[in-house]
Amino acid sequence: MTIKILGIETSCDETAAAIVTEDKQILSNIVFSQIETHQKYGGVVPEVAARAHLDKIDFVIDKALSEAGCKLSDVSAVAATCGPGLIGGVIVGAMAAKSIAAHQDIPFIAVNHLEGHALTPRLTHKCPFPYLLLLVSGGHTQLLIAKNVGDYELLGSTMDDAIGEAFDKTAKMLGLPYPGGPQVEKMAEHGDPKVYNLPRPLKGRAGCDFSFSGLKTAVRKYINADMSEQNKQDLCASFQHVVADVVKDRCLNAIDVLSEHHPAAKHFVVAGGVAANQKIRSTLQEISDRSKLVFVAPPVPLCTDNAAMIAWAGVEKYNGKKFDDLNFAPRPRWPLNEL
Amino acid sequence: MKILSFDTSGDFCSVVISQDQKILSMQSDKIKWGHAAALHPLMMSCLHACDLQLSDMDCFAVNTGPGGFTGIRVGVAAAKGLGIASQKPVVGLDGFSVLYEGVINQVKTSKIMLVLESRRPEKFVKIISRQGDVVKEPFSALPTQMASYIDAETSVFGNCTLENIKSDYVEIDIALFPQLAHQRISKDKLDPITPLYIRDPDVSLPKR
Repeated sequence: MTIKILGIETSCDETAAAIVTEDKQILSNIVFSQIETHQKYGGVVPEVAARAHLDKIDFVIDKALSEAGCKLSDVSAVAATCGPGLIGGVIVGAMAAKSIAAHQDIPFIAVNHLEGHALTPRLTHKCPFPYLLLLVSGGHTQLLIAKNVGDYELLGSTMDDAIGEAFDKTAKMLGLPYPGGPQVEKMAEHGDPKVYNLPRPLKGRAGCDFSFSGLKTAVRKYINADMSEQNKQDLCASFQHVVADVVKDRCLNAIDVLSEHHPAAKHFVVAGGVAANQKIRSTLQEISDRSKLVFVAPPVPLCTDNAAMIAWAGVEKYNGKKFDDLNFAPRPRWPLNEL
Repeated sequence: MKILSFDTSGDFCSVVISQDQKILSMQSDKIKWGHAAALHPLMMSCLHACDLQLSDMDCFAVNTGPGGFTGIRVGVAAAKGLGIASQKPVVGLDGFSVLYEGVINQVKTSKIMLVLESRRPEKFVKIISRQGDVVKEPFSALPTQMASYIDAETSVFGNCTLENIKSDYVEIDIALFPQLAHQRISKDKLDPITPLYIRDPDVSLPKR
């Protein structure tokens, strides 16, 4: 019988459950977004999120099973995000998963949320190890070499804000609704990226680290009460252009490291919520083409937080018999190079 | 009827397995943190002690609070998972009901104030008549604020010490869960389990 894994994701503001098979079929992928709940606060409130996860956890799991047309007795293991993330939410998914696994007497698999993102291209594409991975989301900005399941080499990460955070904060400063990243992108479509002169932090410097707090401060200096809609669109376009430019610079350094240490590697992968940004995607496509690497970006619904990626990470870990004990303690911090 | 009951709402992680209200095995660890790691191993150890499996259970019962927010969620999320997997009834027992059951035989007054630990200066309070009717719905209050509700006809019980209030210290007794769960399940239709937080999340709306 084909291996089917139930995946559960509750680490930020999406309560999600999915069933994925070992032969890469996503039988169901249920995401219940809490965006409306958090909108009035202008960002995710951890305690509010944790309560909302608990309210919806049984609903999303039941729906994932019914939509997949599958019973729990067909499921081979339960995989749940056990960190990093907002711990109150992480605990909800982890506890439900442990209960189901213990009751069914099947393996429990504790999945690192970042590894879920990191392995998604192997669910949607043919993407053998090793590959270069840019992980960009509201909470993370990292360049890594994925060598195997559970084996990641960190090349660089942000020293302050994550890219998604910089987008969200820019949106907030401009009075755009939460979540701000997609709003900034929408505004940028109608703006001129050359209007505002913004700094490009770390550009031209060695290494693969990122920094976005100085850029955010520079954006703030341009914001004033008299801004027209066109001014705002121009500022969004300028901001997005500079971010893409910095990402390009840091990724080119990472590609140098990759080709020196892993000359056989052929793929450059982007994952995480910010991978939904079309400007960043096209920039990455361009440098991949120039570097003779195959660019892989999973479809947008699999870039933002979802449980199919957790179920798939579960498949990969199941195949390697990497199971976890029921005493696994959910972790608010859990770097990918400490798996 | 075999019932697995558990409580992670406070400074204990407790599990009891019962059959027709007879306790088959019971374990309780005093832990302030780490319920999410401790609960399932404790369940398995209790089951092992009476040579049963989770799939042998006919019902599950959980303390739905009030107490530590994280602890409550550990218990309720685990209970929901068991409900999904077993398709068996899950009973939510609030801490006040368990406390009431534990003290009712020693109460001489007409009213009982039940106080539960919150890990904050404000504690969780409920006032009940000796017959078990609600006098005042659960609220959060400082000991000084509680004093105004206490008269000669009120006895105070709680799992925390209260400054300047004469009260008796009682822990939530996991051994009482089987009989309470049994009462609930033999009654009417079961409500879906909902956590009892009492206190709203600490959050302020952004300034515009």
